[in-house]
Amino acid sequence: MDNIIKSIPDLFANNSLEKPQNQKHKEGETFFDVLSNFLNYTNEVQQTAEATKKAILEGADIPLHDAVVQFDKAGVVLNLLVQVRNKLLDAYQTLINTQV
Amino acid sequence: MGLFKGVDEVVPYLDYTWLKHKIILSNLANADTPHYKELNVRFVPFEKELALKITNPKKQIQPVQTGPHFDILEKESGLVGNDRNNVSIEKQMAEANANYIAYETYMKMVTDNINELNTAIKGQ
Amino acid sequence: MLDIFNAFDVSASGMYAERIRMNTIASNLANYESYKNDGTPYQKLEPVFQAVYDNNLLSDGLVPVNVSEIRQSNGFKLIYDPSNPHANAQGYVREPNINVTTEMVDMITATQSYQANLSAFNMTKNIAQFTINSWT
Repeated sequence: MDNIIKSIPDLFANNSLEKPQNQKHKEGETFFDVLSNFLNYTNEVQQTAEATKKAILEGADIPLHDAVVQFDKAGVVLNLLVQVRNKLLDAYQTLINTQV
Repeated sequence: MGLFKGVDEVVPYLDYTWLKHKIILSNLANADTPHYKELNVRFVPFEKELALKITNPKKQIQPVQTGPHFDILEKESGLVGNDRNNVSIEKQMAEANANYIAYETYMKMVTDNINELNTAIKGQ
Repeated sequence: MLDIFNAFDVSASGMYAERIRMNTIASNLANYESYKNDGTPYQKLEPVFQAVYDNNLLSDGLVPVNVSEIRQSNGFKLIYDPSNPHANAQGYVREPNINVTTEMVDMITATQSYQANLSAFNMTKNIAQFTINSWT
């Protein structure tokens, strides 16, 4: 009886909390990396626009076309952020409502 | 992220056009100043410098990472009056008009690009 | 505040300088043959223009013009006219050193420069308007 029990392979041997070696991604990014890159970029663009706005109010010499382009970029990026947020929410709703 | 690659391509040309406009304003304001020499702007885009270096195959080329920059030059020659001033008002006005059109063109390119992005993002 | 205002200032300095020149020409023409109270002739007014080369502004491409002084010329024309009450002992009269033709030509040049500056000023204004209008 003991021999039989020992011969059953340990099905849970590889199921540790760390990712097993051969399952670690070799190249490319996870979805989380892409998302965090995107959020960083968005933040950067908006920070630049905000800094430009502040500099103008404080009296720095900033070319008008520079300021306009930066504000436009911040607007685009904000739109993109809102749409991404909406899509993520939709995806979440779909998942939650999945009938198991 | 390459989101604004199209816009960022045009922005140096916008900067150049605006600088050129200011130079023309300075030349016109000093059209009667003695010993004043006309100023011009030269735009050196990055690609042009890189191309010049690559045509020499013998040297190991490290691409020079200098970005586009502007040179403000003084024009030495040209018709000089008694007051040693060589500004030609007609030429400056002609350049100013052409430059203004260039500015409008570049600005429209940028704005249209931004509008396209917005439309694509909103999905309408 | 914005870079545009510096551009306006340069054009304005050009217009101001040309207007000063027009004023001096008008004075010179009006005083073509006048004398001061003590008998000395009117001294021709000459504005001196100077370009303002400031490193910060120059790297931005801006060179305003400045009227550094309005010089009173010390030159006079000597005309032989013994019967003139202003004649000196040798019979020569000192007259203001004003040549009407030269002054008129200067007036035309000044007007042209003024108009060119004004036109460029309007162009700067149009650039600013256009940029703001294209702001979504």
